[in-house]
Amino acid sequence: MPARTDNEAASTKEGKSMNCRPNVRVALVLLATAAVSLTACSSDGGAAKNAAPSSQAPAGTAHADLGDLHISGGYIPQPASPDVAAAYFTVTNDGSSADTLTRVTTDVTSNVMAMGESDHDGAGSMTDLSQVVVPAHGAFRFTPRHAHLMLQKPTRPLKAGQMVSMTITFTHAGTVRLDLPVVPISGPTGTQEPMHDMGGMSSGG
Amino acid sequence: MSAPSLSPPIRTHRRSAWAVMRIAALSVALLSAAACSSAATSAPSPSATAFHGDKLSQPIELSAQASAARFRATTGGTTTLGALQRGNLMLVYFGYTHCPDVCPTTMADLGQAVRQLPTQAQTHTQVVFVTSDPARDTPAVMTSWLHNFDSGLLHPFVGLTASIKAIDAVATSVGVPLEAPRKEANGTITVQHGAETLAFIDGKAGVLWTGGTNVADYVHDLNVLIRRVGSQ
Repeated sequence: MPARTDNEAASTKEGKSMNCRPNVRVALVLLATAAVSLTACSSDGGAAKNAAPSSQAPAGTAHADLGDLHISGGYIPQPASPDVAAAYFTVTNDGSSADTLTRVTTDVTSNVMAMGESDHDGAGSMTDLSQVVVPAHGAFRFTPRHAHLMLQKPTRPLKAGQMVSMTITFTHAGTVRLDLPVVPISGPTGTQEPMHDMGGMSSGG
Repeated sequence: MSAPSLSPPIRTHRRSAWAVMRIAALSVALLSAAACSSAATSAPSPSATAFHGDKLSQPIELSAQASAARFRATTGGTTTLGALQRGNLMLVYFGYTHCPDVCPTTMADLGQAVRQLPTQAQTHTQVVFVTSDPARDTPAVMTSWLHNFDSGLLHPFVGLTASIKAIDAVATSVGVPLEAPRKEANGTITVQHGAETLAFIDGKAGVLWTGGTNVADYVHDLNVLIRRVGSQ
């Protein structure tokens, strides 16, 4: 697979092609088991020593390290609908080979899907991402209006101040646990601007 | 003084030239249908044209039909866009409440922006959410969803619903061609939302905001736009 230094272009393309070619894709949807009790890696305030500064992670968001992969800026905005929520984070890859997200489980729903966004001519919609590839020396960003992990039908109401436990598995790096804070609906404090800007999104075509 | 980058009449950042042309053509087409009242706008000063959103050289007009289309509203009973527009800066967004990402992000940003306006401006700013998923978005569902964004505002957001056909007719007439929701093989329902928020004054939208707009951009533009709302 082509090495990309960021996922924006890739997923836009993905989204477009998906419109013409529904289904038959290895959707990244995975079943979750309930409450995971792995030995905790890091969560907020934990020991993410490296701090991969490429991703200006805002205070109060979750981060974790897994070999060459560094997850940062993790959070879930308090959902406005009781039926669906979105989780956001960035994965950066310091290694020299790409890695792929293969499985995500949470303690609030067994239905998690990686979604992208495609806009065309005044209207837009979500499309499932067939693959979430973190390129070598690159990053994949789940950021608002661009890509998110969709958590369907959470089993409890998610309110700001709570935590959602997620385990994230990559093909090569393995599995890591991330405890995502539920933050106010407007996002983690002080991050809106940087989060929007860093995408450089151009899905309008 | 106007910002140097604003000499061209149309700004197309994050918007394809085709889409802008399409909207321009559409508004021309609609001109004949619309009984446009004379804009009570004072002559725009140079700085007043400096928008962070996309300024359209041809405003999008609410046709007489779109203005008069009846919706069921979260305020109880029915209303029209024409009625909601009266005396207000009206910000219109098409979306759905089962939308996890774009719709709540947009509404949260709008709520934050309106909250930062002076009181007087807030009372003349009406955010309107028109559902693109009327099968699930009843007025009650929209009411509780919208409360997440408009708490503390002097002018609560209004949610509107009708048949998908009626909604699409209005949406298409303002450049947001929605497809009806469809069920996918995996059981999920794909619903479309607008890619933009339209700012109407006196039935005309000269500015729209697309996905990359942040709260500061909205606040800036709303402060400019609110001064153009007729003082009648």
